[in-house]
Amino acid sequence: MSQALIDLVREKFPDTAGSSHRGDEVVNVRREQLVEIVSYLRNDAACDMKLLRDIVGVDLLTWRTEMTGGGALASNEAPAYAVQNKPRVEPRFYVAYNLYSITRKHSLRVRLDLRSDDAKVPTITSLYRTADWWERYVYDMFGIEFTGHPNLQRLLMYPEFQGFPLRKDYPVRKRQPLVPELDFPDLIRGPGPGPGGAGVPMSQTHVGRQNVDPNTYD
Amino acid sequence: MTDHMPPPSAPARPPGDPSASGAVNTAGGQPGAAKGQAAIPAPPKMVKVVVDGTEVEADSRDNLIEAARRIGVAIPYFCYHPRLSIAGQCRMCLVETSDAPGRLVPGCQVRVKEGLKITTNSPAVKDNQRGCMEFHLINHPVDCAICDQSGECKLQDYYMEYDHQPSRIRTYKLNKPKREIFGPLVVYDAERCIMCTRCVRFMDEVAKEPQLAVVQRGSHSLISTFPGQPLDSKYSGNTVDICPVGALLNRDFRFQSRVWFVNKSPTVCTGCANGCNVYAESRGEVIYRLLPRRNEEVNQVWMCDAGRLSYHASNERRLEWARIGRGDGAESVGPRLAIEKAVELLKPLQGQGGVGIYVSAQCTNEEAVAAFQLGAHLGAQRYSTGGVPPGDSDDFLIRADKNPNTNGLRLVAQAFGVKLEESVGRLKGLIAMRTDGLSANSLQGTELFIAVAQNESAVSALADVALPCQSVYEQEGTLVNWYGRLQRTWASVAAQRADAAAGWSWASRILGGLGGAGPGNAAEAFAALAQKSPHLQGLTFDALSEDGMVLEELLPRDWPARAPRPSPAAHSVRGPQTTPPGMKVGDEASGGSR
Amino acid sequence: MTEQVLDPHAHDPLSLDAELPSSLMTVNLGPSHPAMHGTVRLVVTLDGETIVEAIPEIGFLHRGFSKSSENSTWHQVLPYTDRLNYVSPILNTTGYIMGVEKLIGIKPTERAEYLRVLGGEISRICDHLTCVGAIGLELGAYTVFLYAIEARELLWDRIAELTGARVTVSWTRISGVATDMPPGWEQRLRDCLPRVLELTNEIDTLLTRNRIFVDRTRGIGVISGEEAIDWGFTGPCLRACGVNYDVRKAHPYSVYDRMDFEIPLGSRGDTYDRYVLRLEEIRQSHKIVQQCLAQMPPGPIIGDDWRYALPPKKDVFGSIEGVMAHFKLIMEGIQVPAGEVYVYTEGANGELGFHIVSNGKGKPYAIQVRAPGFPILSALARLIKGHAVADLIPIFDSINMIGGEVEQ
Repeated sequence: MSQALIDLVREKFPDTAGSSHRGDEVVNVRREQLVEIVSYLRNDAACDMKLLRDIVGVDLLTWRTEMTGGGALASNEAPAYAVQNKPRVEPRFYVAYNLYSITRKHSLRVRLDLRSDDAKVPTITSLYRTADWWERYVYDMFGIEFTGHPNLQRLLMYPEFQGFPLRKDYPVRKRQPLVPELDFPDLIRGPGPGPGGAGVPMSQTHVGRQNVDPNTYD
Repeated sequence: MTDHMPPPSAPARPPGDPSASGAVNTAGGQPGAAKGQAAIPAPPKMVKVVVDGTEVEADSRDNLIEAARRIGVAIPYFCYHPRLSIAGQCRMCLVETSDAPGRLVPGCQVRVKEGLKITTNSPAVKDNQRGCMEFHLINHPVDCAICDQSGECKLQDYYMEYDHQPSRIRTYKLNKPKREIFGPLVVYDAERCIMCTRCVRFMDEVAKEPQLAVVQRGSHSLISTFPGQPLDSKYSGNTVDICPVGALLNRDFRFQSRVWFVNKSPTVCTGCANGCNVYAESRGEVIYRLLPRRNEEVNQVWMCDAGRLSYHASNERRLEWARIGRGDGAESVGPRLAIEKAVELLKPLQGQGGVGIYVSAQCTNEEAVAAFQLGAHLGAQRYSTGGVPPGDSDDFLIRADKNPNTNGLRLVAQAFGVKLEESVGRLKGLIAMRTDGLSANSLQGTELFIAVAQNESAVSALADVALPCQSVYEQEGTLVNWYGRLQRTWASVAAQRADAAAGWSWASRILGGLGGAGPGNAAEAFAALAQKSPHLQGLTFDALSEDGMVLEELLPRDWPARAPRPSPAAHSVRGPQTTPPGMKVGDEASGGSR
Repeated sequence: MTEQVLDPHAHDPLSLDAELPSSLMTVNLGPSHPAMHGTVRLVVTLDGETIVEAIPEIGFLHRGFSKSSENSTWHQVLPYTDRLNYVSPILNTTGYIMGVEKLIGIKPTERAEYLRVLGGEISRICDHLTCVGAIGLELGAYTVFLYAIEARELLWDRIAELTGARVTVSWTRISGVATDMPPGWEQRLRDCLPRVLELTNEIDTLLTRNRIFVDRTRGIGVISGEEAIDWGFTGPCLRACGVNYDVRKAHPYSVYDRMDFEIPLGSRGDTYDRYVLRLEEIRQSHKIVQQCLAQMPPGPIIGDDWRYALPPKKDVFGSIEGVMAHFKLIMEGIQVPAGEVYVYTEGANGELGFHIVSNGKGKPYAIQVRAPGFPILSALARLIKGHAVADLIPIFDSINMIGGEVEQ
């Protein structure tokens, strides 16, 4: 059913590659064609894929290897050997767009491979309003930049978060540094405690623990 | 490279010649090997065969299992081992060939020939695999929950892949002796044994001590030792590696950990000067066992029992916290204060003479380098060395020198232009990089003693400043083995043990406190050595591979009869290294058992 | 948002002609707020009572589902999927398991299919009851909430008897489900369903033609079907706009093709339609439940391929094959062939999709949840803009955003 869809796409854009697995059809495209192809899929009457279901990012770094030694349940601390011999995999990421047409009842996945040093994708927020948050989510989790996005900020993580959590080289148990307390000025009572204010950061105010280094407080 | 290899010291015997014990060297399990046909060196000819429709270029000495492995096709087997003679007992490797249409032939015994077509996925082959599994499991005890081999057991793996059917037996299973102590390191469970006879062949052919045999008949067969003769060979631990099931188990490792909880990391054994390549399996800060790692030029895929037990020194009686003071006045002060104290004690002695450096032959090269740099900065007048006292040796893997880096120390001393004495002498101050080989007596004349020590002992108790040293398994460094092979280790223990740090790190910090500069990491220490030493010119630490490299100028003239030696064909095209990446195979040591 | 604070003394406060000093006010709702379901923070800028702009901030319930699932075996991911849409957990687990089964290429047994549909529809009823109850509660109709909770309690009792847990059930397994209906359960279910319907009708009577309720919800939060699709809406929120898209009818999966039920559609796309739709869907789900009970075939509830289904305990303790299979499945995980699928089912709030990537090992390589609430929440700012601040709550209730699935 969707094979016809792949044929349509490949007819118009011959240098894309199509494949199918367990009933899911996928079209591999290049970055330069992405907006054009998605636009075609959305607007062409035969395709009419008006529903962008989601945008998925995947990190292929450990596709062939396991970062930790041992079997499926080995501990998550990777000894030095495994960390040192981190695989270098190119392409490192891929982004998949799951599209659907409510009227024609067909689906298609558009897949785009990205290299680790060049993880940028043009935005499709001009085509689908829902792409706004999905692209922010993929950026937040993988660090893939969507050029032209009106508001590319972290979505689920707080702004001071360091790193990109769903990348395969982000350890599961990694700790984050403490964030200094934000200043919330009160219009009536004036600036509160916190950096820039007259007060002391909360981490230093607890009774009983003196000389606590806020970077290592635990 | 090794054309000018010195001849072995023992008189050469033609391979295939029965040795005094009656066992025969089968030179790698080739068909007809036992009859001495392997004496004819097969020319490395390549032949083309077809495996499951794909053409493969195989070595003419390959059997069908090896040929299929070249393209990632896995033929299951229990009793076959690339380094032992062929038994053909398990019948798991049966495949179809064009030579014998309508019949199945064992893939371990049949050698490839030009144009042979092999089929491993036909219904007959699959049915045989399923049937073989079923037969093997008829009397197998329901022991997975308590068997050490769980997680690395070929019965489990092959069952899920080739059988995965419920049991059809409706009667009792055979009971056989369980938990028989065979020897100091090995325990045998007869119910789990599938009678592959790998252990018997190994003891006959590789260990050259035929201490195991098959007794009884039929379903009641067992492996047994001879009356009054336990399995006390120094290589008995290898039978545990090659046993595909949980019949032969390592008594030292038994019930200590499940294998999927431990992380495996390559390193080098520190038991003797042979420097067998090993994997250290650890979890947290504890090492659970050592497994041999394949290196054709050092230890093939074997290691000795004493080496297997050498990890205990890394786990037990460790000096963990940096401390100052002796006896009742000792206090754990933490690394920074301990270093400050050491510097404070050493400063008056700087350049005054009376300072000595002791390096144990258990040190890595990097530790020795940092110690010598410290000595140079202090103007040390006496450099001494020592180590674990010598012990037994044999003609295979065990060397009398029980220290892993004697040659390395010699190299470093030569590079720094110092002479290594045997005794400590009477000194104002002694800095010891590792304390193996020191005794309370040797320290009698010394006033100040700063020790970088791994284990607590009578000697470390005498230290004015005791700094905990990481074991060789916990740090990266290089060692030079008895014939001059430079091998590197990786930090195999993931967790930090208390205050322990690599020996060069302590020396470096003391140097820093005294106004000098020491190496910041192992690579820098190695670079400092490579600069000074003529043997290591141009080498960098990060470029050292897992196999190590031979420093040719150090090659000895005498060679034990069966010790593996460097040769251009050593890591040849045969064997598991032809396994394509991503193909699921077991350890090289186990011959594909796990 | 900077406010312009005007000098309050600029105008004579006693003069009747003086302009009311006005400035935009920024109000912060949440994340800890009884009406901000599942912790969402809304920074709302008001001009008087009118919402000028709203910036949602989410992530307070992000628990790392994707990262955790990459470090667990395929079966260990199941409890995590429960906790995605925690109001209708059976639908989540079914969706995930269907994805894994699609990757492997096996199907569950027939009885298991019916059981999954049965449990799923009961879950759907629970979710809609919760939503409708919350809409009532937050508009001041506390009684409605209590009726909805009473109905939900009856159903949760049945689920607890069936699966062992009231809410987070982890009930589905690869190629089947974990437990079968206990004896007498079917009768108890048949006995409690009329009471559930009765309570639903009570709620209907109390709210649907209630002047206050209609005034507060009709014409509020209107969105057209076309714009809704562009925003990624699915499920009741999309059907309220009149777009007929329900995965159960468009791409029937499991045994939905054997069920006779209708898809209620709205016309205006406002909060009122979304509410009425959910009540209707409760009635349709009830129909499906009755049909499941009538059509349920006897048989095994889980497949017998021991590469994927855990062997029965008597085999695990009694035979080496059983213990080996059990052992490998638990310790190494099911070996799912490498590949990538996107499997979608009709969750209570819309199309629930699981994008599952496997690299052939016993652990998932990557799982991403397409939560139906995610795109709807992204449109929240658009929905509430221009309305009064008092309309914010009914709009937010009607979209039934569940924090667990949106933020994974």
